[in-house]
Amino acid sequence: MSMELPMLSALLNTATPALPDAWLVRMYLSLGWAVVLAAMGLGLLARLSFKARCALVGVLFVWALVPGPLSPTYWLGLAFQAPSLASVLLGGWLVWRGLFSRAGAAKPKVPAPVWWWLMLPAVLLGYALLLDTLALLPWQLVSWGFSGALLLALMAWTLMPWLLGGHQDVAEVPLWIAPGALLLFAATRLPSGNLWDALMDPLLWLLLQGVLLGHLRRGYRNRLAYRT
Amino acid sequence: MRLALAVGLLVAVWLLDSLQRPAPLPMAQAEFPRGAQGVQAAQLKHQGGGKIPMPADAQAAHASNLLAMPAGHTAAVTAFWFAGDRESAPNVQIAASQFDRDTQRWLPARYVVERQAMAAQLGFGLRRLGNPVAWLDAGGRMHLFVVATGWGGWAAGRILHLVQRGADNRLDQLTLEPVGVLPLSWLWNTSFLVRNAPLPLKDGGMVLPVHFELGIKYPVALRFDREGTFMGMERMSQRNYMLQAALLPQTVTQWTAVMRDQRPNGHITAVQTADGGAHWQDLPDLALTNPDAAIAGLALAPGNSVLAHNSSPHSRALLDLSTSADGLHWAHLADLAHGWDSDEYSYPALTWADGALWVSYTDHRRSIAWQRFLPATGGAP
Repeated sequence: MSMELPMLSALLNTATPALPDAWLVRMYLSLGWAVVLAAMGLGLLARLSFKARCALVGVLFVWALVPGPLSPTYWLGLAFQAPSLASVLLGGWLVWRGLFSRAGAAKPKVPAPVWWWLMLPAVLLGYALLLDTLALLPWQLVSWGFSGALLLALMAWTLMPWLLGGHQDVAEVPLWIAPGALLLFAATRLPSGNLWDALMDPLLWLLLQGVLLGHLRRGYRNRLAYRT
Repeated sequence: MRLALAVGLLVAVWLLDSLQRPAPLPMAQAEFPRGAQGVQAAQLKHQGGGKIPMPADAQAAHASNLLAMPAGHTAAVTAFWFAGDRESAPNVQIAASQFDRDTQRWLPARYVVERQAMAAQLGFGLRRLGNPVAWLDAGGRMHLFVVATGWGGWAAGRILHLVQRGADNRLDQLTLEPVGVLPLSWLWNTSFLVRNAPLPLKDGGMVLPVHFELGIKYPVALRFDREGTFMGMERMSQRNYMLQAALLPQTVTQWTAVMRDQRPNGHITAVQTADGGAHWQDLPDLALTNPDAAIAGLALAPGNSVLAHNSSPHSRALLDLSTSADGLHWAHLADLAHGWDSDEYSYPALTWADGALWVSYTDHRRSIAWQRFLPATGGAP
């Protein structure tokens, strides 16, 4: 009993944040945006030849690593700071898929458990974090991002789709991205030391909303077509 | 098999996370300025003042901050402010000067934080700089917190934490390097600003008041340990029009925070904590009017605080010094600067050093003025 309470107290504590080292943040900023930019470039120009796609990824990657105002990282960092670990892992998977997978230019599929266990909660979470930023919630959600308990709870949550017998088809968005981001956060504290920043940045949140709305619209149209 | 792997992952995450976390800090206990105990604010008398030297090319200056230097240092006080062509101009940098103990004069000012150089070290751009706030950690290292904006104006500000590089913080040797941007908001860390001085703690750490100001304004208290490591944040009010808190401890754990009020015809607002900043309660507005202007407060000892504030409801032409026993009821102590309606004496800063109360403030956005108050009974600087 005497051991359990201090452990629980330590897990719930939001006043023991561990922040990443400055050199690691600096390195991650460039590498993170390099991966995200490469994924975006491949997404826009997916029909290029393999060599052209490799060259595109290489150019975007190197461009993002250039120091100073000539680099997109300089301006993206000014506006958006660093991308979340989840964005970088997703970007990395998209780059790998765009270059080496047979799925190639096909749109990635989202498996059913991901909709309910990850996408929808993530979209709702983004709204909660936005309201929290504007102090419109009675509690301080952003502070919870410094607690160990939240990290464990989210790790368990994001593993659920996989535990419930997920796929894996190479055409599908992999289930390891969210738990992978949390594992990397536990090891590195990137990008800021706050768990929310590792799990989902506002740009990823906007992307997820677009994907979710597209899914809902397709579902609605399919239902209409079935009725007629 | 999957369940076992999932449990293994959870244990790995827990271990990785626990190994990196610092030990929790005990309840914050305020430290009062050394040498100020026994001094009654009402006995303070004006003993000198003037203008702090400006960097040669600076046309404008604003938002000064004063830092008391330790005994044995060549300087009694270090002043920081932002200077350039105008507020938010691209060439605005953070300037500093030190009040030399030997000559009893301010040293020629120099820039200590330059926007492009900081951006190069951070790896991303900084659009504007402002509002420097300095602190000495338990090891005597100087930390500086400045507002560094992203896309947009001040409301797109972030708080950049800098720390002294090397062992020497005399003005001509002072070099600062970035620690990083404080992680305060999920929304790209946007719209947290710093302005007022931190409250030193008995454990060598401090509590830094900051505020959010995108549309609404609310204050937040940040805790730092004795080495200047960020240790968490606590929202100070449920109201959404208060900013730039000045922390005034009444006892080591019972503090009042008084704040600028953004509302028209506003008054200085207040919140309080009885547990060293772990929880805060809103208080009724104070009787003091506030023309949406910055204030500065300093607790010299339990039951003995001073406040520099603009006392006119509609302009920043009157800057006064007041004193209080409880942080809530204030009595006029001295006129700091009185002008006409279009005049501006604003953004005061206070510190206690060498047995004296030091005040600095913006003078018409062109320079930084300073004044010193000594106890009437003596006390050599």
